Amino acid sequence: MAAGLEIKGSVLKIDNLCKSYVKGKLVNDYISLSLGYGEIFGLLGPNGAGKTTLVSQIIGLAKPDSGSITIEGVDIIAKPGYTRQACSFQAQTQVPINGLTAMQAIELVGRVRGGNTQKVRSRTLELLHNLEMEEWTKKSAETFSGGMRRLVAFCMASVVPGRIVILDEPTNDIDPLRRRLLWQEVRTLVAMGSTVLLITHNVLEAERAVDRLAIIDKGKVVSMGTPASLKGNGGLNMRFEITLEPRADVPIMPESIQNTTVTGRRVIGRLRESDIASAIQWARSLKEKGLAEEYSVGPASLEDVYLKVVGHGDSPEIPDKEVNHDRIAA
Amino acid sequence: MKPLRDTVLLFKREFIHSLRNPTWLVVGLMTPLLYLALYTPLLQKLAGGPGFPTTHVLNVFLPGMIGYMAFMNGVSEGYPTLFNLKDGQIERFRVTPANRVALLISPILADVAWMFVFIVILIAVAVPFGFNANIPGLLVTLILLGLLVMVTGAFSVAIALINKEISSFAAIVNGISLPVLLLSGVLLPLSMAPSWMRVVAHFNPLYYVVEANRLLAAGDIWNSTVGLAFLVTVGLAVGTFWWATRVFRKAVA
Repeated sequence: MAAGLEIKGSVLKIDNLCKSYVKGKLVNDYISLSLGYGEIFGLLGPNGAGKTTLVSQIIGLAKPDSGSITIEGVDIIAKPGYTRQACSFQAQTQVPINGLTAMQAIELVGRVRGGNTQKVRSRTLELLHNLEMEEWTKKSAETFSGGMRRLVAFCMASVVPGRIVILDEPTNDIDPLRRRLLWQEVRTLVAMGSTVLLITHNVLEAERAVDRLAIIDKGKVVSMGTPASLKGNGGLNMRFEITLEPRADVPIMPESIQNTTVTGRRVIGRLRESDIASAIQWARSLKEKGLAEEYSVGPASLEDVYLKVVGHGDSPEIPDKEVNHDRIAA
Repeated sequence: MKPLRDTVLLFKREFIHSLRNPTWLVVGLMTPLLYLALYTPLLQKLAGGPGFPTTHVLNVFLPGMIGYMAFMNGVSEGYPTLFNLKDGQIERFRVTPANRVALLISPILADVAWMFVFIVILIAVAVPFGFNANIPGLLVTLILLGLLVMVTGAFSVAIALINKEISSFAAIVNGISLPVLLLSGVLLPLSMAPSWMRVVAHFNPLYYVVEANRLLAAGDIWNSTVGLAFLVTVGLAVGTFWWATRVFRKAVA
């Protein structure tokens, strides 16, 4: 989708969706979001956040406790058959295709999705060629590696793509070259008229691929927008990192460096472009005093946003109120 | 059109899948061949006696045998259903617009197709040993046995989807198979059995199929017993499929 995208109407609309498997514990907690036509929308979140449960309800494998899901205005909770045609889906788990060749597995799904025999055949060959999988076209799936099965599963979701193509961790187990080819095919799907919903843990990949994204944590949408808007964070769109010398204490941070986290000897924070010069000056002084090993400044990444929003695991954050922002005299 | 199209597509998939797993096909064929080779000689002395009016015992035993083979083929259909449920095959198609009845019926139809192949092989093996093959009668037999596989296959799939556990499903299948076999006249004609057994046998659908098979093998197509067998089988097919479709739709909703 072009930069400065306009979302004209929603192809998928989710309103106040709630789902629980155990009474009193909501796995999806009043989730609302919408996908525009022709965009690549990312769904990020830690394990157990509720992403798979959300997707299961979109594709009709589970029914919500409350809320609504519509695809192009059609209530898919009332009409699960509609979603099966409107959506094509690549699951996170390995697809069982033993007993078939790559071509047979892909063509079968294409024909079941209503594709014309000749068109399905040519699209299958096109996908296998574009993903450099021609060598495996007529080989039985029993001989396939995990990565090859993932690629076949992607082809099965793409051969006769739905209005919405849902890809759950599509690049798991795939080599870097084919990963790049796969992303090209994802953009081809959009060019063909599909909207792509991408579920991924790979924040760096998501940052490059998606037009918009939502971060889900503990069943709720905690953040949503374009990668640029999420990274913007009130103007703090630059990332500052300093690696301390072994046994050096965490220094008093300048006021300009906010949202600071400490990971081992690395201290990472966010700052405005206008404060870069002063931050570098400060870091250089630490280095001259033998307190810091190296430092860097660059654009903030989505990973920083993600870690900030969903927590850091064993990487404690220094709360801003505890940090002494008095400037160190040069 | 879509149900028919999906049925053909999925049938081809099931048939090809069986070709790539010949072990099951070999095992499926070995059982009736072993019965022919090791049980038929035991019946030789009964030729011409009660229940064996024809000159060769194969003309009585083989029609019963292929009836039982069809029954067992169908009633075992639940096993691949359980395997498919466990390894995600059914889930894979749940998220596609594949017609639900096609998903149910296509593996059963593949079973019917393989059963036809087995029966032709068995008859080809039996003819040199004295079996009198009446072609029109055997063609009607194939139709009757095809219906029987559909009945038992649909029943088996439904039981598998309700149970979802291989051990309990196996217990049900084994518990049903033995009395059905013994009360059908497959091993020995029930004309040799006491009257109470003959009465109980009338509640066994396989009994009607076996009786009809024996008449059809002799070329007696228009016998009322054959008509009764079709009536029972078609009636059961309608009822079983109605029930199995409801169970299947609920499982893959």
